[in-house]
Amino acid sequence: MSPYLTLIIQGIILPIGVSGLLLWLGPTRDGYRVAGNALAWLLAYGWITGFPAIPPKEAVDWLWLLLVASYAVCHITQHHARWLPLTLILAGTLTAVVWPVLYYQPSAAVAGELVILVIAGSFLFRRAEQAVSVAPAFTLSINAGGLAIASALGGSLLVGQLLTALAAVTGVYALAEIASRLHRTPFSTQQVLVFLPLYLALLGIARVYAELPLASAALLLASPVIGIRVRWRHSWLISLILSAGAVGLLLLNGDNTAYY
Amino acid sequence: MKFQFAKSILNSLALGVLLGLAQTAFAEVAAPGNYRIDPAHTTVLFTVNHLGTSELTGRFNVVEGNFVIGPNQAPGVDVSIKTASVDTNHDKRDAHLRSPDFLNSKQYPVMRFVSDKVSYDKQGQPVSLHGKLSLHGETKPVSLALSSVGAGKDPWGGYRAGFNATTTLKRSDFGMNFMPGGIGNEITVTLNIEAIKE
Repeated sequence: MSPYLTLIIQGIILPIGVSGLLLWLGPTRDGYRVAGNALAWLLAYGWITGFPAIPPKEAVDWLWLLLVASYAVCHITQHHARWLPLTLILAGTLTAVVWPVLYYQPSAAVAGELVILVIAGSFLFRRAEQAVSVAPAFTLSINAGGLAIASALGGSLLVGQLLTALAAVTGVYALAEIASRLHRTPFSTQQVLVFLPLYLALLGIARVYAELPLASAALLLASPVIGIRVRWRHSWLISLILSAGAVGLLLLNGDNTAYY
Repeated sequence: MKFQFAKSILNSLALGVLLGLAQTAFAEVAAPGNYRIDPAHTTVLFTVNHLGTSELTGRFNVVEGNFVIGPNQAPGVDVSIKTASVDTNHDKRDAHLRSPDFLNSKQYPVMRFVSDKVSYDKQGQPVSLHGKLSLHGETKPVSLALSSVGAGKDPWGGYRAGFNATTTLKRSDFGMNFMPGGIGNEITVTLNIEAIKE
C-alpha cells in the first residue's frame, strides 16, 4: 500500500468511519458516544504511533493516558465542577511532556508557555458548557485541522496525523452541526471536556518538539479561547480566521516547496 | 613568460613531492595510544531508502569523542553525535528528522557509541569495533567494520590517524517506527574519522 494512502487511512478514514458509525448507528446515550469517540481516536493513535511505549517515554506516549484520564474525570464527576481535576491532569501531562526539554535546557520561556497553556485550558474547561452553544465540534475540528496543517508544515507529520485524527473524529459531529445549520449539536459538554485537553497537549507538543513558531502557536491557542468566549453562533468563523492565519504565517515565513 | 612557465612547473613539482612525502608519512600503521576525534576532519554519513526508489544520504555535523587503539591497550571508544546537527541539504526535511517522528532531538539530543572491544588483524590494525549505541532512548549492541586509512605526523607536529567505520542499523530497533512504507528501515552509517593523538 502507498505510504500516503496509509497516512490518509490512519488519520482520516479510520476515525471518521468509527466515529460516524457510532453517531448514526450507535447508542444515543452520550456516555457511550464519548467513550466510542475516544476509542475511535485511540485506534487511530495506536496505528499511527505503532503503539505507544508503556510506561511513556516520549511526548506522544502520554496522550492516551491524558485522554483516558480526562474521560474518567468526566465520567466520575458528571454533574460537579470538572475544571479543576481536568486542569490538574493537563498540567501534569504537559509537565511530563516538556520535562525532557527542560532537563537538558532549562528555559523560562518554555516553562512560561506551559503555564499559559494550562491557564487557557482551565478557562476553557470552566466555559465548556458555553462552548456547546457555538458549534463546538465544528470549532474544534477547525482548530485541530489548522494545527494539523501547521504541525505538518512546521516539522512533524506524526503530530499532524494525530491532530488529523482528532479533526476527523470531531469533524463527523461538525457535519451534523452543519446539517442543522449550526442550531443544534450532538457534541456534548462531556465530549468537549474530553477532547479539549488532547488538543491543548498536542499544541504543546507541536510547539516544544516540532518547532511550531510562537506566533502560529499563539493564534492556534487563541482560536478556541476566543471561539468559545464569544457568544455568537458563527464564532467558528473566528477560529477559522485564526487557524488560517497561523498556517498562513508559516507559509509566508517558510519554504513552500513540497517535501513529504 | 618563460620565467613564469618554469616557476609554474617548479611549483607543481614541489607540490607533487610534498604530497608524495605526506602520503608516505600517512601510510603507516596507527601508533598505539589515546586519540581525540578531530571534528573538522570527521564526517558522519547515513544513507536510507526513500519510497523504495532511491537512496538518500545525509550527515551529522557535530561529532566528538576519543578512543584508544593498540593491541596491548585497554580498548575504549566513546563517540557522541548531536542529533540536532542532522543535515540532508533540505531544511524542512532536517526539521522533520529532528521532530518526534524520527530522532526527537529535543528529548534525545545525543546519540552515543561506546565500545570496549576492538578486533585487530595480524598487522595490528583495528578491523572491527563492538559496542553499544544509545539512540532515541534505546541502547543496542552494534558492530562496525573498520578500515585504517593512514597515520603519521601532521605539519604542526602532532600525530594523526584516520579510519573509516561502517555499519547497518535498523531504525525500528531504536524505536523509530514512523512511516515504515516511505522511509527504509535499514540505515547504512559511515564514519570517516580523523583523530589526533594526545
